[in-house]
Amino acid sequence: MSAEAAHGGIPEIPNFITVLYNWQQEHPLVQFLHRWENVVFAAIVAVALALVAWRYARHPVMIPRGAQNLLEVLVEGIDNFVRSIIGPTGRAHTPFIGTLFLYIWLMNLSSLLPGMKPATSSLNTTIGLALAVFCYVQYTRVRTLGIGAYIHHLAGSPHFDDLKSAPVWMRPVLLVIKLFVMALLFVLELVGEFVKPISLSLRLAFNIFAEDVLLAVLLGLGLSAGMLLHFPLPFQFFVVPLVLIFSTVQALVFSLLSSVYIALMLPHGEGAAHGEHH
Amino acid sequence: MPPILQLDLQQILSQAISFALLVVVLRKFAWGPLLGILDQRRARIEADLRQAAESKEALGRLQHELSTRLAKIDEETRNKIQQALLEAKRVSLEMQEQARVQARAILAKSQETVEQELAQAKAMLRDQIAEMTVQAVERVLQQKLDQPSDDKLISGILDELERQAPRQAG
Repeated sequence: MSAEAAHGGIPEIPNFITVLYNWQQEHPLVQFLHRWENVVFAAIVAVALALVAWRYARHPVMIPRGAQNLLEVLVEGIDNFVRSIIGPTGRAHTPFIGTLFLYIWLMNLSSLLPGMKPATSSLNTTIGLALAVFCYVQYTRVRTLGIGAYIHHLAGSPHFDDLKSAPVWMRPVLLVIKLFVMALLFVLELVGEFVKPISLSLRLAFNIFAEDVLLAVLLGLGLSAGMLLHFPLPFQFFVVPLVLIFSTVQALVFSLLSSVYIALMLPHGEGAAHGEHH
Repeated sequence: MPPILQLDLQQILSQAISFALLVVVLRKFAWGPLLGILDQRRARIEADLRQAAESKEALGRLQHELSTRLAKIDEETRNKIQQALLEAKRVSLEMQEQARVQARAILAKSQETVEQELAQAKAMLRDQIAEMTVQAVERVLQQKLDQPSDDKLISGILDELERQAPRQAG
């Protein structure tokens, strides 16, 4: 397989960029596309989603017709899903979680399209998504709690009343220690918050990567058998249902756990899942 | 190193930014309008259902009111018929009584008239008898009569009297 050598011996189904790269390695545009391969494939999915939204969802009518029916079913299903996790206030987060789900789902499924590559099989894509989730969650928390309460919470909710009971000469020392611990806790908490979506991104990337490799191996096996039999055998079709299921499940898991992170960030009683996790 | 482990900060940031842009675009062109229309439709359906329930309730109230009013009208009609029957009976009795009084008056008057006419007829008869008696006496006196002729004459007079009496009475 042509792409195999370029990726350290790991089989990969050739996509249109690898084909172009093998054909015109020296061309700057091809080199650029090859360098930003995952970003390009993610952008293709994003543009397709944006076009569908622009074409069919921009001006919905009260009595739906055609594609609007399908989009409404999808949107309502995602909205119910998000609100079942976050609670009644989850509507505000439906666009973020819904876009996340659709984006990941379509990127995962793009592995079934000839010439395409699932951008989610790269850690760069999934960590980028994790970064977006982290930023969104922290932004939601700051907007809900206020910046002071946000920092106070991340710094371990410290109290300074116990300093009054200490001898006067010890108070500055204790204060410095306390501030140091607060800063340490703040950094640790922040890293902990970031690690949550990062763990999701690792799971997603490795699952999709494994799917991609499996498809490539079976495709290669079919082609090898075809060389012997003078007729290619489509072994990869046997795993297509599995790819469909895993792609959906992975997108769902990422969206579900992101919703749970958002619910955990909301003040007590606002998120449905909040109480269960504290 | 396998490609999956080759991290690139620029790519990571690009992916995060492109996703953020996609969220903004979809929020504006898909989520906003579609969630809005779903909410509008839900609100309209709820309003329609509420209105239907209110209409049903109003209809029930109207039906109840109508049946109450019909029952009241029935009762009033029955009372009026009853009153009319009583009035009719009273009027009928009055008319009967009046007719009876009038009949009695007519009867009395008729009897009085009959008695007057009878008295007149008797008086007329007496006058005629007297006149005929006078004529008969005159005839007897003018003719020389024997006993059989007298009897014949008297019986003839009496027959004539008998013939004339019913005519006078009629």
